[in-house]
Amino acid sequence: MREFAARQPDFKRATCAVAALAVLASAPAAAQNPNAGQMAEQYAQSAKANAELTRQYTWQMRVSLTYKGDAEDPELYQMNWDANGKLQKTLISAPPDPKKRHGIRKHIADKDIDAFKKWLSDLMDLCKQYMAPTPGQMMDFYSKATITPGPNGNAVAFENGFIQPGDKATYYIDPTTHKPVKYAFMTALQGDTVNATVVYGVVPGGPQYAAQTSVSVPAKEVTMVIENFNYVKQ
Amino acid sequence: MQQFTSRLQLPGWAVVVAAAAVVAPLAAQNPSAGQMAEQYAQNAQANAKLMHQYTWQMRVSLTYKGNAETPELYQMNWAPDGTLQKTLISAPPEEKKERGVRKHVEESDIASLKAYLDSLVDLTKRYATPSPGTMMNFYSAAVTTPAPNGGVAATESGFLQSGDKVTFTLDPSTHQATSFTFSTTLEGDAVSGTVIYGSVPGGPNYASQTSVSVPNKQIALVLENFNFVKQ
Repeated sequence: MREFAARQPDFKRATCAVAALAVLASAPAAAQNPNAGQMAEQYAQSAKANAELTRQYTWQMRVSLTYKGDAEDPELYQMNWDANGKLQKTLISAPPDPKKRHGIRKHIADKDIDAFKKWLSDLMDLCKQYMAPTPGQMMDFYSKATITPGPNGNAVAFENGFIQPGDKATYYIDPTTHKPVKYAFMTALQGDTVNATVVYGVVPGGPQYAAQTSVSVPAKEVTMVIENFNYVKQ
Repeated sequence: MQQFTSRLQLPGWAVVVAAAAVVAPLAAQNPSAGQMAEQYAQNAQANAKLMHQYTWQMRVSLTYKGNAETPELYQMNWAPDGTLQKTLISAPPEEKKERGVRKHVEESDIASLKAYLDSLVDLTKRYATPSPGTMMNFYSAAVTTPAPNGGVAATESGFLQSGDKVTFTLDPSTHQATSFTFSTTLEGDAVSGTVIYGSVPGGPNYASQTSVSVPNKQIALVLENFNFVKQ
């Protein structure tokens, strides 16, 4: 038996989120900007261009999940594009020992696994919304975001109510490239607070990508870290 | 004791929703969605300024489980600081009358129903006053079809939340919306709403009638705005 993350079919949906992380384009921000619509269009064009660039690369992705303080064995995937343009992930780390009962399976009875899988799938869907905001959501962000100086000379653009009422989103933007170097959001899933941080990377001459995405749900004692690396042009 | 609607003290912004919902400027030439959304934002701002030159009246009608509360009529004015004020001008309801909402809801349940209605009004507000970004997505994704009386219907699913559906019906000559319908959910209950737009000659566009219903809860709410007078 493979480990939880690999066993559950719903986890494949996480791949979509990961793909979204990988192809998120740069977001030039400005406060109270009357040209927010044009900026959002630029965002959409940049996202599309970045997605096209990403399709020229393969890379590896590592998924690490911790539940109630117990860590699953991280799983390493090779990420490739198939002939139809769909992102494929192939497990390349050693398959987990089926007799090993740790991590999630240590804490959740078999009969409750499905409910947990559904919840995890909902978490992935929620994160996907934040990781790949629509141009309209970015337009509202450009219109309303408050910009303040941040660490390392970055500009910090912050907005409440980014995707849903009560949430918070913050982009840390490199003032020279106008690209985000980090993105944090706080939201809620079924009443539980969800915190996430994304650290972006750039392949020299290639796409921008989510190098590390960390998601935590303290009330459920769940943390997940997704890392993308080893980008190779095909 | 006032009627249920009064005791609910519909928040001021609920009134603003009904009064100042802005018409969506869908242009036939279809410039880019971002430009259209910027135009929408500018129009909304201009319409809001126009609205501040007027007073009007608003009638609120609530039906719960088939029983209608006595409609309440309000005079709507702008305070010097620019906030919208509503003053009840219809006869105050009889205190001991057990009808409408009070006939069906125990005092202890009033609070939960009030909270539900607050959420319903908040949800309606989000649909009736979409952000420019929401409209940008709408302009990008909406499907247009012919509508009755020579109009055009622009429809999109996933307007504010997955599974919802909205339709703006547009007058092709003015490119202004004449009505807006939405279907969505609140705490699992199906919610449907219709907004009929009016226009004060030489003045602002406004939501002349907003109807919201929640069949599961047997709730129907109608807000009407009329008698606009320039100050």
